[in-house]
Amino acid sequence: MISLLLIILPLVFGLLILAGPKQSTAKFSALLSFIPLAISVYAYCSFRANGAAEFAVNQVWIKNPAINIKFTVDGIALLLIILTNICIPFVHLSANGRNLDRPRIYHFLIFLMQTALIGVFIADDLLLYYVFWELTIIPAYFLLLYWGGKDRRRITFKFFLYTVFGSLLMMVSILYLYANYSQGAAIDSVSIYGMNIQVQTQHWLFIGFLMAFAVKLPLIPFHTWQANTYHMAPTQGTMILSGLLAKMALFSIVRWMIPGLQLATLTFAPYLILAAVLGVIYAGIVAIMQKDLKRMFAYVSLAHISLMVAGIFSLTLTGMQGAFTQAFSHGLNTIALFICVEVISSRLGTTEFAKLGGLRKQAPKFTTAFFVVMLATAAIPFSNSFISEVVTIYGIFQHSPLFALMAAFSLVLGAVFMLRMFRQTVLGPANPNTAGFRDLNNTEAFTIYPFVILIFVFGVVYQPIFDLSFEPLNKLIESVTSSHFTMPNTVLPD
Amino acid sequence: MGGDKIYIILLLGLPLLGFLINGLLGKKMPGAVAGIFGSLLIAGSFIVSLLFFLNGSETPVKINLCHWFHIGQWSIDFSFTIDHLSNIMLLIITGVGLLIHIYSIGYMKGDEAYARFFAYLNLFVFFMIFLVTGSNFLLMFIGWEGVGLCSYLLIGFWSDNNAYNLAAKKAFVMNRIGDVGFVLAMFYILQLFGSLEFDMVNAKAVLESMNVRDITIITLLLFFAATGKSAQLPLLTWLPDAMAGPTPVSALIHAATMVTAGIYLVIRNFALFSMAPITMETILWIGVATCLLGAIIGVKQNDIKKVLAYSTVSQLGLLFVALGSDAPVSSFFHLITHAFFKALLFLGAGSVIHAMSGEQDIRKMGGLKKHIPVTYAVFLIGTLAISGIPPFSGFFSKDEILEHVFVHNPLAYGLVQFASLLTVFYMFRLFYLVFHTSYRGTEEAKHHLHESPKVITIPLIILAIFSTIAGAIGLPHYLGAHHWLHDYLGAHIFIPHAEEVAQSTVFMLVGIAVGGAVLVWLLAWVLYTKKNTLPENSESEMNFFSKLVYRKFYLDELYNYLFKLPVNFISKALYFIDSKIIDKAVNLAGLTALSSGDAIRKVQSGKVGLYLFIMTLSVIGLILLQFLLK
Repeated sequence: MISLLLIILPLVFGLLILAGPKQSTAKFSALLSFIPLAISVYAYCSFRANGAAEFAVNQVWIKNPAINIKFTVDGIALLLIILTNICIPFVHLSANGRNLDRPRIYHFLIFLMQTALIGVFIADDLLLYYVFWELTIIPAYFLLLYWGGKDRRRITFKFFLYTVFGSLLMMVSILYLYANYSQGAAIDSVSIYGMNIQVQTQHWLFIGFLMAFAVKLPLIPFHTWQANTYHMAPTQGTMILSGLLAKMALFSIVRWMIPGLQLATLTFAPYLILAAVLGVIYAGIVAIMQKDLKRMFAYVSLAHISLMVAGIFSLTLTGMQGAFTQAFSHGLNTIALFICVEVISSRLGTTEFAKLGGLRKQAPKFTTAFFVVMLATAAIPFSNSFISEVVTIYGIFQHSPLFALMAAFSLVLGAVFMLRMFRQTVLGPANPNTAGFRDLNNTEAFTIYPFVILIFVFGVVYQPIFDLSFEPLNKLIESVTSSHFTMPNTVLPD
Repeated sequence: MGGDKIYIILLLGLPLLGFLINGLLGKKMPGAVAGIFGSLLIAGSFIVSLLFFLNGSETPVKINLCHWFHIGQWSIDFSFTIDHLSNIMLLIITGVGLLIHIYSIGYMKGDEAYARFFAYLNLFVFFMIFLVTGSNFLLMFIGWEGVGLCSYLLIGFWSDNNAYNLAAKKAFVMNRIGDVGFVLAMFYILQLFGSLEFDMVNAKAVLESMNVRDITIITLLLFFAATGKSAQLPLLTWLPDAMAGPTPVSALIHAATMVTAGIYLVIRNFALFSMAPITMETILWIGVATCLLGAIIGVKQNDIKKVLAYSTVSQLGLLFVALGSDAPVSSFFHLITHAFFKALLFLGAGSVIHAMSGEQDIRKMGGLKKHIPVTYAVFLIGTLAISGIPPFSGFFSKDEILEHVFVHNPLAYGLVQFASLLTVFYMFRLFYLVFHTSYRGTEEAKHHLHESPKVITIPLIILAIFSTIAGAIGLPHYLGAHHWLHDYLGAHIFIPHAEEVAQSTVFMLVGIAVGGAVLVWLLAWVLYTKKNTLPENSESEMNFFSKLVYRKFYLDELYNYLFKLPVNFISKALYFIDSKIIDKAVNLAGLTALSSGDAIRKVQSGKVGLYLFIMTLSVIGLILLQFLLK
């Protein structure tokens, strides 16, 4: 029941908004979307601490080929559901005061996105999962195409092409799995562990899955859609893309890809960590000289996501748990960052460094909030990303001290680009463009302050998050590390 | 034990409370309320520290507040250690901190962000206490990063000035570079010892014969972190720039407390460090080089705070020299006396700057003796103390270090003794140029010349008293005295056994140090009062060496060309490659794969999106229908 509510309510609310009044859509939407948040908090409270999958729903949908409507919530899924449901109300609310064209459709699309995301997190059937995965692209596409900024057609097209291309390869892999290994049964999060696939085949399937995730995360070199898209997208779209959609790919890696393709995982993991760690440094360095807030945050996000990927493929419990804790923190922090961006761009119509500066005296409330979010992104103690970043790097360290050294540079680079950005956009003397910058109004304060509070709360409260991710990841790692010894038979699939 | 918990909560909680209240409500407080409130809370922490000191227990007390988190090998408690080492640090932090808070009530008067200043100062004290009392590496690292953050906030306190913001950023980034060393050291320790608790790690290091190579890596990484926080080569250039912050900040953070965290880290883990001879040699020579470099640069600086900043760099180098010479107690002794006299000198300089209406250039001062007599007197005491003139505190602590270095390595001794003489020179140069001869500043500033109010002078006087008498905690054996600090620290901290030095050698060393100091003092007196020499007015008047020293051996420029500019260039170049080349390459690969221009045109029309949309919606509809019909 809880699973169904979680997944259907956003859609229902979206339809309600479509049918509702034209005024104050953002506020209504935000108000409604607190209900899914309440339900996910209830789900957390009734979740048994052992982290195993719960709230199961299972119905046969199609007998042949076997597809079930099956939902289960495991610890990591719950963590990401909570993240999504915390963020969505404020994503809605941040659009308040923006004179949007066709606001009802806009907010409907955000609700649709929420449904799709939650579907990805809880679908316990590989094909059903894929349906939701593809569903996310639709609201994203329309948000970009109709509410985007300059050059939106070209950039949206590129984004669309990249994503579809990646997803197609994943689809091929999935269909191949069904055709050859499912023996006519549905593939769920349990049976995916028992796929007996020859190593060579695993490698190809792995690449198929990886392409979809590499685009969505993104991983270098599949990231070049990102900076332009973040820059052009309406800020709410960017929030969802960076804060939530990237997490969906991280989640898919541990829910489907690694369990199904354990031997290939062992083969590819060292290269993926290396690529990811290089990505941390690469993106961090590119971020340094960016001249625009949204573009810069695209690279910052790229750097942080790369670190999480490195943590996951360290295949250590610490690295993986750290990465998902980091994913949770990163979701909150990125959305908070883009809320700050929205405050700036809604007042000044620009996010370029050169036109900013000198906000501190005029807007002390905003400065404080932005400052806290900025520091959390740079992983300062008692902010939510500090411990998670440290333990993630420790996971990488267990794999290779050299890679850990490289990853640890994210601490330095984080300080360099964030402080530089803050110095140029907020500190210093005001200029004619920023003179008269208005401080936060009540709605804006209500949008950003919860994040400031959560940053500190999750800067101290780590254990519940670690506990949520422990069971599923522990099971996964035990399975992967023992897969060496249980080499599958070498019979080729027919 | 319950009582200890309450104490530790008070100790940490009071400054944190000050931060929260001053930070959130400070703006609404009238007049000096925020300052007085902030100072009172620090006074509370000081009293707690004093109670710990007076009720001192025989063994270190470890107070476990609660469990924090556990993941993999990590199991971290919020636990705090009060032992003789951390207790003395606490007394310095809260004691000197309290005086500086009180001083700031007067010094920061009228600043538009008065309450914010005290909020940051309180936060700093909180993190500093966290740093010295945390019982494991992770808690210490949190304090370590936290004080770095406060340093950043306070250096860039006047944020309208972009140069100050740059200085703040530089400090934070250079510290972060060092912190990479801390993080990696922590990882090695966890892997090797299975714990991050200081007592466990150091006990295990002594008991079990650990691999020297591992210990060397760990200690070198920790020392690298220390070079960042304590401004040693190669990470020293942030400290002089940090003088952009208000003067009380320079006194508290960049002289008395935060910058000594690196020394504290080494002493806290001295058992570990003394097992790694390579690390100890590195510490010694980095210390010698920094000590000498700071002293040389100090001779040519004309900004009153910059002179003191380089002096701090040099003195911190001296502390590391002591550590590298197996003399942690002497190092700590000098750390204590330095905290007093350097805080005194900085606050005295603040009083001078206050009197001069903000002027910091010593070429524009002179003859201030009669205008600000109290400041003059305390500044003289500070100068005598740092110069090692008996019986002021610096004499005892510096002499003890020199003695150890002499036994350990005569060459290092020679260099450090030379640096000490330079110290005497630049301090008296500063002193005479500021207070003696005749006034050289503007008429307007002269008109405003005044002694600072009591709220500023009283802390100065108290610090002057301690700068004079603090040597009493470590009187040398030749006076027939008992070295209290050695026994006190030795009860809780690993101290290597020191070699006995012949009485005659000791007297010779004292003779050289004091005799040399007096001679150099005379030299400075002749140069700057009798001959009335003035520093060059501009760089064009300087000869090559003067200019080299004045420009700090071009270290900033060197780092600029070696790191900053290349990184910026690479950043731009990579961005170019990223947006122009990689993008095109990936696109091309993708397009070739799809290969059908026709298909793409259809996608581009936007219709495919619509189809997909309708398709997925109908899929969802189907699911719902299916489910409801069952």
